[in-house]
Amino acid sequence: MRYSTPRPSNSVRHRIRFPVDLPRSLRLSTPVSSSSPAACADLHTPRAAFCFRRILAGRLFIINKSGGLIYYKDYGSAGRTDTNDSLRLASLWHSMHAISQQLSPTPGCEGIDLLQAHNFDLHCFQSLTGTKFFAVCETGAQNIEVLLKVIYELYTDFVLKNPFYEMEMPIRCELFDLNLAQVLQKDRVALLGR
Amino acid sequence: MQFFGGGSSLTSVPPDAGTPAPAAPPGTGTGGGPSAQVLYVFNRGGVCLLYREWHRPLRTLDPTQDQKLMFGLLFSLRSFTSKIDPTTAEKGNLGVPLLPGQGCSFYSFKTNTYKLNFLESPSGIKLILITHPRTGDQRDTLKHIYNLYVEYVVKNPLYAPGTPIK
Repeated sequence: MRYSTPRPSNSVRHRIRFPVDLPRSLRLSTPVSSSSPAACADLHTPRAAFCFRRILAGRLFIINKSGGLIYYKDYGSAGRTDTNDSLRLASLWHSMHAISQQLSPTPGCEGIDLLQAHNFDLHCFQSLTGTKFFAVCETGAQNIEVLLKVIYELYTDFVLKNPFYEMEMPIRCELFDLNLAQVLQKDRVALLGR
Repeated sequence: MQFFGGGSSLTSVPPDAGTPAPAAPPGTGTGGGPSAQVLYVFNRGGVCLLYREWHRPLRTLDPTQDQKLMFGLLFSLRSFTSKIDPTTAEKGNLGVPLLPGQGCSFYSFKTNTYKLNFLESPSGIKLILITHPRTGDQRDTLKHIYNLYVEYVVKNPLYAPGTPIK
């Protein structure tokens, strides 16, 4: 069992699962062999363990379609970012994502999906509804796109299906927190045990 | 002396070469090769010194607006990256102008239709090269372009600093 917490029944899960046949806008520029079901299976492979360890050095942001921060998690970065700064960073990213689409020399731009800085890499994944997931991780970290899609899957399962969750509002869903932490924790244990 | 002349190919210009042209890094054509789409050069104050385009089917804005938007994007991205950097604790405030080389900078970002490569020199010259998204690391190319700028623009006695390069 991947999760000890109750999950939706298999049939429902299968129907609402992250679509295997991704629309063009969601496809990665470099083909990842695993789409969703495989991405889940991928959690148990060393490569996924590697990428999970990598994100632990950075931060994870989820912003709604108007640029408001709805989820923020810090995985041990140096210094402290206060709440106002994380809100500012989130909305700044939202606007730069939009500007980068304006500046494209060829039509059909969907915004930044990888920013390479000297000390870190920032990977961004935008869902069809405009919710953006972005993670700051070490330079050269692999498979973060897959990880962000796994997080997107957790978001659809435990946030969007939560009847008490209001759309576009900050995520305060226990199950989401729990499962995200569990996925990361399980992987860290797997990594240390090896 | 070259600022970015760390690479062996850049410093090994033979003294009897006749011309002072810096050697191009291996695998680089003249100024980026066929995959280069657009090149911008900005000075510290945001004046666009040079704009070249080789392949640009889409134009959403007129040239001056486009250059302003590009400079603004780079300015904000610089302050964004220096603030979000997870490896340094002391980062200052968001939105305060940064000196060249201050804080954590970035060297490229990638979207599904293009890749933007960025180099900022210690004097605040910003080089932006837009290429196809599949191209690899272009940092050496940008250093090469910067060295060409130093050789043929800065050392040109007829060039007035801060004016567009002709």
